[in-house]
Amino acid sequence: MEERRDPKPTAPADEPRKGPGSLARGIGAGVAILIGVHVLMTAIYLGPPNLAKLSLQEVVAAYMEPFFRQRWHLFSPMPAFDSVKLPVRCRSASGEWTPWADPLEDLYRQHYRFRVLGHGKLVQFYHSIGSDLRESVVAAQESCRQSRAEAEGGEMPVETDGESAAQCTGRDVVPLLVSEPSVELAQRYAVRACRANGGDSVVAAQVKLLDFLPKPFSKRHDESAVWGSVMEVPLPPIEVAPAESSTASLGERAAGLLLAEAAP
Amino acid sequence: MNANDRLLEGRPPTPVGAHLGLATERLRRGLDWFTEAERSPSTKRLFRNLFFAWLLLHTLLLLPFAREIFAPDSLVIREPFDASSLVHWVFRLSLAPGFEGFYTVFVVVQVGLLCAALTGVTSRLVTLLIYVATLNVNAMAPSLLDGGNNLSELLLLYLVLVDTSGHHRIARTDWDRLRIAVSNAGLVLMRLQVVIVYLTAGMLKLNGELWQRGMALYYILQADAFSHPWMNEIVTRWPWVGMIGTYTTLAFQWLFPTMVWFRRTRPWILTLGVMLHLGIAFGMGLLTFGLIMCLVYVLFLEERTTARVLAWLGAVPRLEVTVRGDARRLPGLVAALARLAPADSVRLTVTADPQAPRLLVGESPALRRPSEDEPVAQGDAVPASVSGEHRWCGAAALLRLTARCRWTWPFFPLHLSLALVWYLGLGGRLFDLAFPIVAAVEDAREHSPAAVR
Repeated sequence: MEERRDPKPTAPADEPRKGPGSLARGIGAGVAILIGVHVLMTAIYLGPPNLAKLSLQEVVAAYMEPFFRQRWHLFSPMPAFDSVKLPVRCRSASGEWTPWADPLEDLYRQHYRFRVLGHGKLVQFYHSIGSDLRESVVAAQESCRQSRAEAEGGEMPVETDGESAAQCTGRDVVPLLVSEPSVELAQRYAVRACRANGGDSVVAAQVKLLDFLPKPFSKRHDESAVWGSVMEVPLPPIEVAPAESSTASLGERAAGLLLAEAAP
Repeated sequence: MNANDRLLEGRPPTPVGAHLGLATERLRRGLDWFTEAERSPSTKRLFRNLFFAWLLLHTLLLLPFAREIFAPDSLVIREPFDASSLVHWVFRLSLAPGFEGFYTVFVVVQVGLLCAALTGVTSRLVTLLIYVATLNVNAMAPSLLDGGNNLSELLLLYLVLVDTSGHHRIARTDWDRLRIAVSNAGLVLMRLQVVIVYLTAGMLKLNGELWQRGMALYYILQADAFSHPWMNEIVTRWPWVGMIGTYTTLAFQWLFPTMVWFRRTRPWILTLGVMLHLGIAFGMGLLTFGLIMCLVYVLFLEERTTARVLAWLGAVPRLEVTVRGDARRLPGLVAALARLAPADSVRLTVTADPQAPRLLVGESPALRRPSEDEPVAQGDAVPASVSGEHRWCGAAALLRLTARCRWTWPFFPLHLSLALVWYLGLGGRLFDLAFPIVAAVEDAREHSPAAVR
């Protein structure tokens, strides 16, 4: 509506315009100081540990969290480059297990095909289940190595390869992870996928973590292997309680179809 | 006595005095920049519209999967609700016991507020409500949140400070100065925030071995969640593409915080940024992150450019509406509808001409926004007659007017009802019943010279 348009000063033309007085300058100075303080707080919050950060940590954290929280890693310093999968298998009342199948295969296919739809966000959503589980496993492995090194009276190995690492494989640390929320989440994911596939006939579900690391750059043309290395961590099977309802979502239906296809 | 006074008295200032005087003057000018006038109003307005459109797109993309993502039993680890925290009661209400089942309400409220804001219902209060709704929606799906969401939350908070009406205001009182200063501070904070993002990410990347060796992109594009089979193929077959991409990203993130402040270098760095982030959006599949990073560059565009873009976006045919002042209820209704229409798209005239139809709407074919230098007075003279190629009267005219504000969602049912009535051929009769001419004026018309003749 044209009456609302106001590209020019709104005050009447005959009203004399006062120049900036000391109060006006005070307002300007106040605003500039507030911006300066905010930027300083942000710099301390985001900066590396130093004397200023150590002494002001509590004040800065109280100011920045939760409204000015900043997470700008953006694939740095070490970018995420592994592919995490959570294949699922289901056991029917007859006691037979279905083959392992990735319930998200179809979702990934759609994500590659339709880049402007919401599949990317859904991939991110489900991907986080696997990446959280992987983080828990890696943390448990570190803890396991540390405790073994302490028990042996030696120092903890810096490298993850080698004999000590072999003693703390993903399979070894699974019993330590039973109470982890990421494990519980992955198992719920498996139960849902199985329920979507077999409904009430499924009595147990199992999920395993597969973490694929890409081939090193120097071996990129090596046709003998698809991946550089693979970590496989199967979680213990979980019983599936009878479903209260069979309102399967899109992802679950996709999972069901895939599992059905994979079944012999 | 400062350096200028000394100069006026004929005594040359000492070099240190001259420099101090210059520094003081620049500081004063800097402080006045905040308080004297609304800076970059078109930029603020254009950014607000694009930013709200991005927020809307983000939520709409998730709608088909809303149950999977937002439902109480969805596969996500949520922050526990702290009943003793006021912050949680406002910004994490969606996580409160008893509220989890109403996740659709939070999503609908956010979408509704964004639709209202995009159709012109804007104020700082609306922005604040959008901020609250967005934080509640985000709290329900923390695993979905990436750097783009983090940035959007921060920008929304700063946007609450900003006057996004697009009006050029000049301060006349100290109260004006305070309001304008807060608005300009919001713009500065948003720009600084974007710079902080790149500065932090650039510094962190320098510590990464893969980034230093130029191989980060090769490895990132092997991960199936952040890649596409084609991209994977490209970096494997032509490794130099990955290397150039890695070093370009590093160089961009390091140069942006400096180059973006200079007029000559700004277009180059922004163009490079757009290319980089479109690559992230479509190559890596991080659509919403890539888009918001392109969108924030609007904050750095010059006022002239954003004013032109706004004019181009607002180039819809203007409706010239003439309404009889003596028709009962009609002038008030028409004025309300005109207020809901996009800015400058309706020109309203109230006439006392007894020969005029009660409501006449004409569509003017050639329309443009006035330029900044063109004076547009408040309540300027409007033509008595309605010109244009297309004209509508009565119910059809009212329908035309509601169509102009059809995307303002509370009025969508009104528009639909009117369209149905008009389609059934009942429009004219109902219009006569609803908006009769006031009797006193009718009498005056009967005894007017025109009527006698």
